[in-house]
Amino acid sequence: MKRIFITISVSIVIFVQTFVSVAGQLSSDVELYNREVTPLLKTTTNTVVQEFLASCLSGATQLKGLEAYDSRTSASFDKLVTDRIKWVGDLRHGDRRDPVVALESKSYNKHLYPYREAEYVNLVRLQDELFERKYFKTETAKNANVIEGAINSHWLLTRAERGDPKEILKMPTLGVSPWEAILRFEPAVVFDNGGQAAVMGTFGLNRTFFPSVASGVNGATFDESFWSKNVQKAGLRAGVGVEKDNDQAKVLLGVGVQVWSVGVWGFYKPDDSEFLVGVSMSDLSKLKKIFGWFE
Amino acid sequence: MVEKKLIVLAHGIGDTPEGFHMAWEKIISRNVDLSNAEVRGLWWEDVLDKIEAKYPLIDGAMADVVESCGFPDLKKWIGSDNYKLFHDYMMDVLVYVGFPDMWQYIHDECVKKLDALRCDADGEQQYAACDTILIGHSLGAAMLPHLVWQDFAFNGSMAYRGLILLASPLALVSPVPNICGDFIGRMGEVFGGPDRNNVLRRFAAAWDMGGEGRLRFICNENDIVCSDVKYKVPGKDELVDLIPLRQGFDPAESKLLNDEHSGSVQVISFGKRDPRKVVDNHDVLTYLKQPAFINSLSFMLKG
Repeated sequence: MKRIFITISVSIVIFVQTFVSVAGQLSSDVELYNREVTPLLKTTTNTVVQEFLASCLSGATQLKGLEAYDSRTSASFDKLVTDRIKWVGDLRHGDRRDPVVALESKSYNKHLYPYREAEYVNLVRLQDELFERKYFKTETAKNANVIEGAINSHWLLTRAERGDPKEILKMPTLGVSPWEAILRFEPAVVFDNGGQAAVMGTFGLNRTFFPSVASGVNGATFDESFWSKNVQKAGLRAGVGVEKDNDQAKVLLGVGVQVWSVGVWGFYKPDDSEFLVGVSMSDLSKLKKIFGWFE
Repeated sequence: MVEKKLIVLAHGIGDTPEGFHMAWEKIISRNVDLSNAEVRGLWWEDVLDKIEAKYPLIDGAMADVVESCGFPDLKKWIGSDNYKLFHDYMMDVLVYVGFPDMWQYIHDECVKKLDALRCDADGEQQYAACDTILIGHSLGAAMLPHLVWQDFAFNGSMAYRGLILLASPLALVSPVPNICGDFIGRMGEVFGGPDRNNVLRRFAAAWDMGGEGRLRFICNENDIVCSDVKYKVPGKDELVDLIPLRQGFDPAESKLLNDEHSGSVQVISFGKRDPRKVVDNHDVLTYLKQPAFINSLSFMLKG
C-alpha cells in the first residue's frame, strides 16, 4: 500500500513538473531572447540596425504569456515572421555586417525558431498525408498517367495552392485540392446477355474526402469523418468505349459513379439502341487481359 | 563545450542507393576534421521512384518530347551511356519542375526525412537547425534551397548553419516558363515574385543575416549541369553548346549573390571540355575533393 502511495505521489510530482515546464516554456524563452537582444541595441550606432532590433523585440513581446500551440501564438508568430522577412529585404549588406545582426539571428534561432519550426513540421506532415491520400493511397490513384499528372498539377480546380506557406498551411485542407481529374482507359464489364468485356476511355472528376484539420494541445491533428475514414474517394465518370459483343466491337457511351477503384456505369449502345449497366476497374493490369480478349 | 554538428548530405539523380552518404563521408573525412561532426544521408530516391511509378509514361511519351526539345547535338556527341545519364537527369528535372503538386509532395517528404535525421533513435531532436549543415549535389542541390526557402518563408530565419550546393542546377532557365517553371521561378512563387534577381538577392541576404560563409554554390565551369560550357567536338572548328538552355548563373547574377553574401558563388575547374567527360565533370566525389568545398565546410564547422 505504501509502495502504491509513493508511486502515485512521485507520478503526480513528475506530471506537475512536466506540465509546468511545458506550460511556461515559450514565455521563458521569449524572456531569454529579450535578455540577449535588448543589450545589443546599445552596442550599435547604426540607426537602421537599431530599428531592426527594436522591431524584432517588439514582435517577440507579442508572444509573452502565450503557449506553444495557442492559436494566438501562431498569429503572433506570423506577424513577427512577416516583419523579419521584410527586414531581410530592407537591410543593406553593410548593415548586415554589423555583428549584432548575426547575434540577433543566433538568439532567434536558439530560443524562438524551434517553436515555430515544430508547428511548421507538424503542418507539413499533415499536408504530406493529404497528398498521400489524394495521389498514392488508393488503387485509382496508383493507376494514373502523365497527362493526368500534368492536368492535376496545373488546373486551378485540382492543383495545390502555391505561394506563401504561412497562408497555405492555414487553409482548411492545407492548400491541397481534394479534386482530381481523371483521363484514362479503364477495363469494364458490361452486363449484356452475361458479362461482356469492354474498354472505356473515361474522363471525370474524383474527390478525396479529407479529414478536417483541428488544433490540439500538441499541435494540429486530423479529425476524421465518416467519409474520410470509410469512403475516402469517390467520383463521377463519363466515357466512350467499345464492348466485345459476339466477336464484334460495338461502341458504348456511358456515365458512371466511382467509389474506391470500382465504377458503376450506365451504358448506352447506339448500334442496338440499348441501355445497359456495368462495372469498371481502375486497375490497369486488368486492361491488358481485356485487350487479350479482343485479339 | 563545442556543440557537435550534423552534416546532412542530399544526393542528386540516378539510382542512388540508401547509405550513399558513406562513400561521400569517406572522401570528406580525408580533408576535413569530422571529429566533432556526424554525417547522415538524406536519401530521397525512394520518393522520386514512387512518382515515376505513378506516372509510368514519363519514360516514354515525355522522353520523346524532351528529345525533340533540342538536344540532338548532345545525343550525337557524348555517346549513349553518358547521354542516357543526362537524359535521366533531364527527366527528373522535368518531373520536379513540371508537376508542381509532385514538387510540393517531394518537398514535404524531404522535410520529414530531414526532421528524422536530426532526431535520435527515440525520435527526440538531437541536432538543432543551427547545428545542421546541409550539402546537396545535382538535383539535391536544387531540392535543398527549395526546402530552406519554404522553411524561411514560414519561420522567418535561415536557421540552418550552412548550405553547400555542388553542381546546382538552380540557375537553369526554363524555355517555356508559362508551361514549365524553372527552379528559381518556383522559389519566386513561394515569395519574392517572378523577378529572378529579386529572389536571388533575398535568398543570399537571408543567409547573410546569420553571418558570413553560410552559403556556397560550388560550380565546375566544365560541368554541363551548372555551367554553360561549350565543348570541342570532333569534326567542328567552333566550340559547341550542347544544351540550348541557360544552366548556370550569368555574371550579373553571380555578382548579385556575392554582393549580398560574400563568396556565395565559387567557380572551380576540373575535368576536360570533352563531351565524353560529361559524367566525370559532374561527379560528386570529385567535387568533394576540391579546395573550395573543403574550405567552405571547414569554415562552417568552426565554432
